[in-house]
This record gives sequence, C-alpha cells and structure tokens, in this order.
Amino acid sequence: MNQEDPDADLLTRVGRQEPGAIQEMVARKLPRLLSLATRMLGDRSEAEDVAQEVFMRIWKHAAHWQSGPARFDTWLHRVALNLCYDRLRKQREVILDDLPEQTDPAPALDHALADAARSERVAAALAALPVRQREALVLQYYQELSNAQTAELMEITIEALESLLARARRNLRISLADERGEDVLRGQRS
Amino acid sequence: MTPERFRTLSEAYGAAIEHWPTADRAAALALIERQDPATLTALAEARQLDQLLATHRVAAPTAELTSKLLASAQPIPQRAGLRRWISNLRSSSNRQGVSPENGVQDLPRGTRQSAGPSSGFPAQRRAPFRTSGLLRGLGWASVGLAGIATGVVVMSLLTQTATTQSLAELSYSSTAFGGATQDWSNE
Repeated sequence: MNQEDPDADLLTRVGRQEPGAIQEMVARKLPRLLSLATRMLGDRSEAEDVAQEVFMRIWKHAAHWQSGPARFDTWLHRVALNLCYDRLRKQREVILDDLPEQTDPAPALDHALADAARSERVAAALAALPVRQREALVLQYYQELSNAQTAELMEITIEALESLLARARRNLRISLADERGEDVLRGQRS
Repeated sequence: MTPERFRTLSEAYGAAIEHWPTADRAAALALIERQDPATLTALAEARQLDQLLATHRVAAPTAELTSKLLASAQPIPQRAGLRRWISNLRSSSNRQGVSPENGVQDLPRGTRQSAGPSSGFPAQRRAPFRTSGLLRGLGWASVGLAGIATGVVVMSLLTQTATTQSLAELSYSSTAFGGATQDWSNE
C-alpha cells in the first residue's frame, strides 16, 4: 500500500530540518487537517487547536518516521481523529442545538448570503449526525479517502463502512429535505 | 451489477463513480450506459445530495494560524547551545524573530550574532581578574556562579518538561483509536 507515499520525500526533508520543508508541509497539510477537524467538531476554534497539536506531533516525529504499511497521510488522519474524539468526549454531555431555522429564500437575498446560509445548514446537519456516521462521511466524501483507507482508519469492515455511509446520507437527506427540494432542484432546472 | 446493488452503492458512496470501490466501477458505468430507469433515478438522487454537501465550505487557514504552526517547528536548542541560548534569553530585548528556515537547526541567526562579550558568561568571568582587586574579583565570581546555578536549574526544568512530553506522546500513540471506536461503536 505504501509503495509510493507521496509525502515520503517531504517528510524526510522536514526530518532533516531542511529550509522550506516546514512551510511546504504546512501548506500541503494544514487545509486538509483543518477541514477534517472543523467538520468533525463543528467548531473552528477547536479545529485550529487540533491542527496545532497535530503539527506538533509532525515536527516531533518527522526525523524518526519510517515507511511502513501505513501512509503518512493516513497517520495524520489517525492522529487528528484521535484528538477530535478526545474533544468530542468532553462535549458528550452537551446537547446539540436544534437545526437552525431555515431562512426564507427571498428573491432579493444576496447569493453569497444564501451560500453561507446553505453551508451553515449543512454544517448543522453534519453536527447532528451520530459521530461514527459523521466520521465515515467526512473521511469518504470530504477527505476523499478510498473505502479501504476509511475502513482501515475506522477499524471496521468495508460492509460496516457502507452501512454507516448509507445511514449518514439517509439522515442528511431527511435533515436537508427542504433545502434539497427547493434550492438544489431549482438549481438543476435553471 | 443489478439496479438494486447500484442503488445500495449510490446510497453509500454518492454519485461520483470514481469514489466507488474499484471493483464495482466498470459494472456501474455499464449500467448507466444502458439507461436503466431505476439506475438513473438512484444516480440522480445521490447527485442531489452530493451537490448539497458540496456547499459546505471550510474557510482557508488564517495567516495567524499558519505563523503559529511555523513558529511551533522551532526546537529547544540542544545541550551545546543551551548556555548561550539561556544567556541570550536574558538579553533578548533586541532579539530578532525566528524564521522557520534558519531556526530549525541551532540558534536563530539573529540571536547567534548577538551573543557577544556583553551577554555571555565567559566574557563576564574574564574581565574582573584583569582589571580589579580581590574583592571585586570575588564579586564577579559570585555573579558567575549564580549564573551557572540558574542555568543548571533551567536546564533541569527543560529536560524534565521534554521527558514528560515524550512519555505522554508515546502513551498517546500506543493507544491510538483504542478508546475512540469503542466509545462510539453503537452509532
């Protein structure tokens, strides 16, 4: 699986403390890690904290990294998910707010505002998912990991992953039914 | 592939066939080409949800966060440079910022240049015995000893901190996913 880890060379250079390698690592991995943590936690500030902790581990382990069966990117996801779960456990007692009221799609509403509102509703729907369903969807759909990588990260079988994904998408479809019916379909017609 | 199997996969992986399991892609594309109504319906439903999910955006990292991460890559100097580093900390009012390129290895370039006779312990110890009497020399020596003692205390604290972090790291790594999946497995 790890025959050509695309991050291997960069990681080696970070381990050697080569100039420029650190910036390249941040540029390459930060947006991806931030997206993962933001969607898992639903909180930008906490996601940034997670990203910082992940990078501390990268700096610490880069010089000792040894190529093995797992890719570096998979290791990164594993560390980030563990940190997310640590924080989710602390939030466990917090009751999630209901989905925000759907805004009236008035014709005069600015496109940017409409996009932001739609993004917020999807974020709220994601946050309302059971966490394992959310994890499966975020890894497979947003992070674009393969089903094998996702199942490996989640330590479940492919069949179990497909079940989680199907339930996640079904729940989202229900949560976002109004949005889907009014906006997406309208967009398809135009 | 049957239309039922196609629907099952589309409900799990969405409408982008390239994100489906590799082994199923060719058969799925063949089914689409046949224009099977049930298949096309399942595909359209999956695509609707995909389009909606794609509207969720995560803002790009801020410059502030990026700067923090770059700064976090700066290591604590090794033993050879520790005394000089501590000395520089004491006279750091004019210290330059640490750039990620030059700060990774030893001391930052700016602080290395500022480690001159006025801030280093060796220069402070040499000067008194050339220019003054015994009492003055003892005074300077006591200052030097106090400085060394401070250095030892700081070094021990730093070593202890590093060790604690290292142990925590090992512990964390060894338990990766152990608790997480169990706690949420029913969902």
